[in-house]
Amino acid sequence: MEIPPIEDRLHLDCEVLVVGGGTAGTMAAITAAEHGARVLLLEKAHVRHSGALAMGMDGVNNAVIPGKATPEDYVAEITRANDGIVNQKTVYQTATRGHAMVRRLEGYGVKFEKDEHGDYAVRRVHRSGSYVLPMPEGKDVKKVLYRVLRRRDIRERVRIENRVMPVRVLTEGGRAVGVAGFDTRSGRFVTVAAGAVVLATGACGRLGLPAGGYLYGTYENPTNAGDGYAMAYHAGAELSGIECFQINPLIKDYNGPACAYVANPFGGYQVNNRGERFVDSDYWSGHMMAEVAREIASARGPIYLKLSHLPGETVTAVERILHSTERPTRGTFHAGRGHDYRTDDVEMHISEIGLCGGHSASGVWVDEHGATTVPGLYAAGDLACVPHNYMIGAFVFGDLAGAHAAASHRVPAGLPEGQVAEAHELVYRPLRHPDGPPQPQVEYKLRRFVNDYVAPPKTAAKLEIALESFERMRDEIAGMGARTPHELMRCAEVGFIRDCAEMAARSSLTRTESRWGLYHDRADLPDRDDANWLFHLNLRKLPDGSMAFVKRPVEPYLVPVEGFDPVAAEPEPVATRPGARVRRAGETRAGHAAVGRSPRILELHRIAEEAPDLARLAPYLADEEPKVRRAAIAALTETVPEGAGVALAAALADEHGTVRRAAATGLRELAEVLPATPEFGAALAERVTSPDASVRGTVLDVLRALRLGDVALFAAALGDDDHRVRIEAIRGLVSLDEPGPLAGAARDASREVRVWVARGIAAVGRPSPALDGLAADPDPLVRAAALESSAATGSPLVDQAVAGMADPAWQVRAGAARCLGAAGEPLEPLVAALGDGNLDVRKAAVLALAGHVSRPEVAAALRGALADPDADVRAHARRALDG
Amino acid sequence: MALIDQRVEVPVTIDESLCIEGCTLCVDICPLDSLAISDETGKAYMHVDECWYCGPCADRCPADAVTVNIPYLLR
Ligand SMILES: Cc1cc2nc3c(=O)[nH]c(=O)nc-3n(C[C@H](O)[C@H](O)[C@H](O)COP(=O)(O)OP(=O)(O)OC[C@H]3O[C@@H](n4cnc5c(N)ncnc54)[C@H](O)[C@@H]3O)c2cc1C
Ligand code: SF4
Ligand code: SF4
Repeated sequence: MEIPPIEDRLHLDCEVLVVGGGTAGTMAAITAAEHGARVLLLEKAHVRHSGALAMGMDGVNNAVIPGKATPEDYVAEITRANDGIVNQKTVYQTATRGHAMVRRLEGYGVKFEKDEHGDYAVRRVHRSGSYVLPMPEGKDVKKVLYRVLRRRDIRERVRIENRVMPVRVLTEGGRAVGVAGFDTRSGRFVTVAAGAVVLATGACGRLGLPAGGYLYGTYENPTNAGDGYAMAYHAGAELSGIECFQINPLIKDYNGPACAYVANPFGGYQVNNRGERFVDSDYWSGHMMAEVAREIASARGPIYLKLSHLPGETVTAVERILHSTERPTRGTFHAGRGHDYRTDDVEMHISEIGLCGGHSASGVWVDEHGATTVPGLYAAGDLACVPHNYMIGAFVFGDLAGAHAAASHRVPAGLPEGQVAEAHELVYRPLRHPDGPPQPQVEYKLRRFVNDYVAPPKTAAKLEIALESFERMRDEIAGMGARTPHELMRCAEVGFIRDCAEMAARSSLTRTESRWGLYHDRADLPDRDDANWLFHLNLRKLPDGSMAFVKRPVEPYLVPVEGFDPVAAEPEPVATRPGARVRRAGETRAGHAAVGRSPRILELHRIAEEAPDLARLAPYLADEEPKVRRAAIAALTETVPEGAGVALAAALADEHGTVRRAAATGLRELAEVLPATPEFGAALAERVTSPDASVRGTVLDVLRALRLGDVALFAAALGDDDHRVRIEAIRGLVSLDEPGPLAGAARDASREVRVWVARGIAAVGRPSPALDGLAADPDPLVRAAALESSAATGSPLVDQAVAGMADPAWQVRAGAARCLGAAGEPLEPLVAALGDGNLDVRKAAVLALAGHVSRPEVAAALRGALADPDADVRAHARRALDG
Repeated sequence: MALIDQRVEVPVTIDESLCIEGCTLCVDICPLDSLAISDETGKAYMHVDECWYCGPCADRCPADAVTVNIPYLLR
């Protein structure tokens, strides 16, 4: 391609500009629009499937749900996890607004795990407090957000430009007034004049090189190359904690999470090669990562996620999550190596380094509204330094930044043409020397230097070599060659990566101590130095182009945290140092008419863009081709016109299995947003006799979620041939507080159903004679569930539990321990169980005894457990004794 | 500087016999913009070896024409 003249540019203007349409960016755009602003959303990919949520998320890592945790606990927890260096005002926002955000998302149609009574089912992973909220249909989050963006009221105010990538924020008189960038498909130059700019470009995921050597095989979505870090830096904004890297424990080579957060509630955990647990908390922190790195390097390495001890159906349930959300090709990876969770533990490793506020603390410095130090410029999501903010924090800060920007945008007088010309040169420079080194080679080398000299363990000597290497590469990067708009995009990204690499090395060199476990492990300065370094380390670009550092005092805590005493001080400057054309989709090819074999599907795609009503989709829903009917259902679930529920229910009767399945998936996905009308209920109930078991299961599930089912319907389904349908029936009855009919199911042929009966009785919380039978079940998993459940009914099966403590199956011993813990008497078998050979039984015993530490013999026994070989057992014992 | 064409195995394959001519869905949504429509065949193909093996291309294809494999280096 030729360099386009600067005058031929596409110029746009708006009140609020949002850069990046991932988690934080879509929320910022929606909120700004709801506050009346005219919004432009620029995304380098396509908003429909972009960012970390592109394939969904399996849970909320950090929701403070009233009654389950308090904002103060959360703030203290994050302060500890980040070794005292947090601006608590920002973390407090996530703590206090997370619940409302979960409700808002639920209103949009995102599903969160709830028990049969409709309460959020949060789980404990952090050292204290329960903040993890699973999302059973998490794969649809982004789809739901996109649906909201395209709602008529929002799309009138939000213009979306996909495949447009800004490279620089423009400033005038110190205020952000717009951006310059280009269309990564046509190559056209683009400028935007904006009243306020929200950067939501995610983490810097392409900093370190993954051990697998594939440039794009990163933990983070690889379109997040550090664009926002570089743009904020060049605009003069402060960045903070850049030396606090992101590093995660991942499936080796695949390099995606097999999260202990997912596996844990099912009984999975991480072990070393001896089968021992070695981390005392699965919560991802720098300290945990240091333990993981040490274990891998020791005689006990490598490490694994262990699932092989779990029953087949439990593994299937774990797989259902891991192979469908976040990184759904996990199953393909394991199958390719002939591995199966039932027989093979999953080898884990630590990831390449990255920058990310959302996972650690490296980001653009923001206040509690997402404002940066440059007026008119905001940062939200992983890009912003709000430690451990994760997905819900990205939503909360997207919302805050969107609202603040909508209230304080200012019409810019004009754009600084000098900066526009510099940006133009930056983008198109590689076209001047198309035979210059290609991006893959340059990027590989740059990122290998990052691995060699910037990744921990860090030393001053290595960091100096890093800086020298990055300086040398400045010219190589300027000399890179490109021939297409796509290659220009990758070249611009290499520039961002280099900027981030330099910031990472200089920050790591400047903070002369070790902190945050592995994240800032200075092998040459191994101690934490609170006297000198309980400070934020911020950096920014000075007008002369050099990088300046300042130590910012930690603001007085809102919630005091033992062990950390930030001192009041003035910000103090530290050291400064000199410083083949890709065709556009949709473009018609000369000489080719669209002769397709499925013009109906193409028509549908077009119609779906226009928020069609049901009548317009009806002919496609009735098309004779099942493929078209399936595509019509996809359009229906994306746009949800009035009457969608009844139409989907009707499609459950389709003669073609794939169409029925699409309808069932759509219904489950939309259960929170479809109005619970009697007509819809009737349409669903009609399908309860479907010959297709997955249809029958869906009908019961949706009727329960919408509270449209009655006892008779659920009770009848207890006689279904398919055990999954019978389980849905149990859940329905429990939701109606009607345990009566369950007694019959206690003799069900399927052990999974019997386990659900036991759990259902626990959820209802009233004694039931059925539990006696279940406690004597031939299957150990059923016995375990019955004993545990009896504790929740107020009438624990103490005799059976005492006997159960000697059961040969560890699951029964663990269940019995939980029962005795709740009963409170006798405790001797629990004390004895601290010597059990199985680590899960010992853990259950410690947890059961924790409620009774006031008794001296219990406290003494727990003190003994502090020396347990299992890290989890030790941690829970310590927690119980502390208090 | 000298440049060469080198063979690279790409992770995503598209069954041309199934791909619907005129459709561009996978090309529209791939976050890395690694898919394109071939000038010769009018069908989708992977034009660069840049992939997060994330899957929406296969997930959304109305013709089940797309297969996402794990990149060779990681397999
Ligand atoms: C694999 C994985 C699993 C995770 N699991 C969980 C979990 O279970 N629970 C949880 O709470 N959190 C989880 N997280 C973290 C959570 O997803 C993130 O914290 C959150 O989504 C970050 O949102 P964001 O908007 O900052 O970034 P993103 O959602 O990644 O969005 C950034 C967007 O900016 C675009 N962009 C980048 N540069 C430019 C540019 N120059 N111009 C235009 N657009 C640009 C990108 O294409 C992208 O769409 C996970 C993250 C990953 C990667
Ligand atoms: S989505 Fe499927 S049918 Fe459409 S272009 Fe891609 S491969 Fe072809
Ligand atoms: S797997 Fe993801 S990155 Fe790879 S081609 Fe498909 S959509 Fe693009």
